[in-house]
Amino acid sequence: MMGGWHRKDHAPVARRAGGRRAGLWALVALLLAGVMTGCAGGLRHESWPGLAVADDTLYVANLAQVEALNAQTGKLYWSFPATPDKGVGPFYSTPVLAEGVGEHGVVLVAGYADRSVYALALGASPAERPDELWRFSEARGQFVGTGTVADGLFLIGNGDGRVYALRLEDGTKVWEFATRGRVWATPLVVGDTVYIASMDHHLYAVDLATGTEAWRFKAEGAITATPLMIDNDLWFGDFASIFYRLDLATREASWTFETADWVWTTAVHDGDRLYVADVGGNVYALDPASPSVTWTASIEDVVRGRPALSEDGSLLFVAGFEKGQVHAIETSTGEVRQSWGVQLQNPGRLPGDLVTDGDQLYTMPILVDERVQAFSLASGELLWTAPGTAE
Amino acid sequence: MFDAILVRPIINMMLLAYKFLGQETVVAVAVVTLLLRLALTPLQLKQQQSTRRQAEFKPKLDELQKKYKDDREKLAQEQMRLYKEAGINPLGGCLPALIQLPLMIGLYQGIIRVLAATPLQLLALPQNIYRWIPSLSTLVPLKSQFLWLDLAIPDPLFIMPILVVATSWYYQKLLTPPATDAQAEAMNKQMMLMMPLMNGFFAATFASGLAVYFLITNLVGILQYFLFRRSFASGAAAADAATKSGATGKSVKRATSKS
Repeated sequence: MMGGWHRKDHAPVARRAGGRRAGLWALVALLLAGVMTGCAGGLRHESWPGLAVADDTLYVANLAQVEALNAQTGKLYWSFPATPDKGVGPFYSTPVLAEGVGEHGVVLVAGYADRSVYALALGASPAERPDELWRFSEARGQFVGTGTVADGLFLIGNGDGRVYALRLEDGTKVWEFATRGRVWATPLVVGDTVYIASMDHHLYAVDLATGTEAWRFKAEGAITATPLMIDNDLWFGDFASIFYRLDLATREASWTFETADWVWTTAVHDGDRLYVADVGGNVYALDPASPSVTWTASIEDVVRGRPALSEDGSLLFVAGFEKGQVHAIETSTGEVRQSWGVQLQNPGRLPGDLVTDGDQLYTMPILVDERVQAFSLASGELLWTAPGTAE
Repeated sequence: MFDAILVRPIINMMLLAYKFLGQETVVAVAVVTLLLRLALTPLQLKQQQSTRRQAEFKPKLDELQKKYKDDREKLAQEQMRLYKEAGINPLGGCLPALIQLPLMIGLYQGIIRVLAATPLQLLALPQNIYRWIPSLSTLVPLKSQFLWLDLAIPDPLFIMPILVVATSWYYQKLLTPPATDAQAEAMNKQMMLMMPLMNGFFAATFASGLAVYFLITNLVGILQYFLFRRSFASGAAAADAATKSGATGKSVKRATSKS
């Protein structure tokens, strides 16, 4: 009786107090969510999308979907999965095309949170929706790096420190090679050797057929850049801000160059000079023959994505991550062109690699709706965006 | 500004701790959390004492509110007189909390950034590393494996979220001042349920490095409580002595029993 009376007597007060408490809790939850998401990169997981171009078709790994677009217009051919699926992606890994598998080849891409590699069998025409040929989901970490195709295998590094060699036809694991750090660099295959750059500070030489280690080189810092092969040397940079020339004959660094900041991305070679950008926005032109530094330039922005060269090699395009702008640098002088490129109202951010097909330069900004943007290589004019202007 | 004053020093402290304490991320997080929490101890003690004294003072304030419910000016005067007599600063609980809050947010942000659970977070890290301290960059990325955990992804076994919920609940229980009325008690109960559950939800959803931070913060807080409980209780005792009456027998008993 007392209990009943007690509850009845206090019910209006309790309701008011309950309302105030609910409001307080909502406020606390909002504040906490704000602090958490502000530091964790937001509720939507942004990535650095990757793009591959072949036969006038763009294959784009965009957030949680892989898309095929018409390279001239940006028109969407298909998406995989057809609607965004929480179980797929998001993608950091760039799609890779492999011919000779299935009737019309496959496109291979690996997801970050889902830790899976997908092989999509392409149709007769670019517009034909692909079928999922196989899926590999045995990796224990996230896929950030892009894979490569060699000798009937798809080789890709993972956040669990392993490189997986998968049979292209059915996704069967042929071998795996374990390092002690995340592998975000694309494995480089030269002859029957795979060169694997790991964030455990090592570059490993591994037998392509068996996955057994032949030798390793210890760098000063973590390596995320894919090595570049010129003659018999491997060129790459690390997080200790050192750029190496590794002599494959001696397996030692025959030359090093100290950059101003971490080197995250792979260098670009025009057959003569080597161009490398550090995350502090410094760009270096190196003469690999001497070796020596020809010039240095700065775009005054963070650089993560791999730069790209114009068709004639006269311009080097470098994406500034934070300001979301593409900068054109004269390769002969290192002068940053001021007039190249349109100034977008909301450029977003540009963490991804720049891609060209000779006529157009493709960027994939994040934090904007227009996830793919095509520019004229000659003028920097914006040609189309997807979604947006694409019909 | 906030980054330069708070977050960057914490990030570099963490890297130094990582460098010199066996290159274990969890150890670095624990040491920096412990150091900062210890540095904040005087403020926390002051806040706790003030909170408890005010809680015990509430019956007197309620009496005044009843007595002067139609005269707000007189009520304010009497409240101030009461505070003055007891030597209590009515804002004494807020000010230390306001000073601590940015430090705790800075600690949290520093840990999250140095853990760099996602590639985009790792990309933001070099800007925060002091170049004048040699070889800090060579430490990055910090080791993400600890026991069964990959600190960059949520705990697949849900052990960390469970530990976070349990320690959050216990820490909350220790810090909650004794209730002086039914409404405050209901509020306390709700806080003791909701806060641990919310922490547990975040620990289960975000990278397990964050769960490690929650767990270490709670453990350090609990340790701190037991190290300094005499001071916590003395505040309550002082309040009791100042008011001489009004505080409930239950709350005095609880406050002094922990000394």
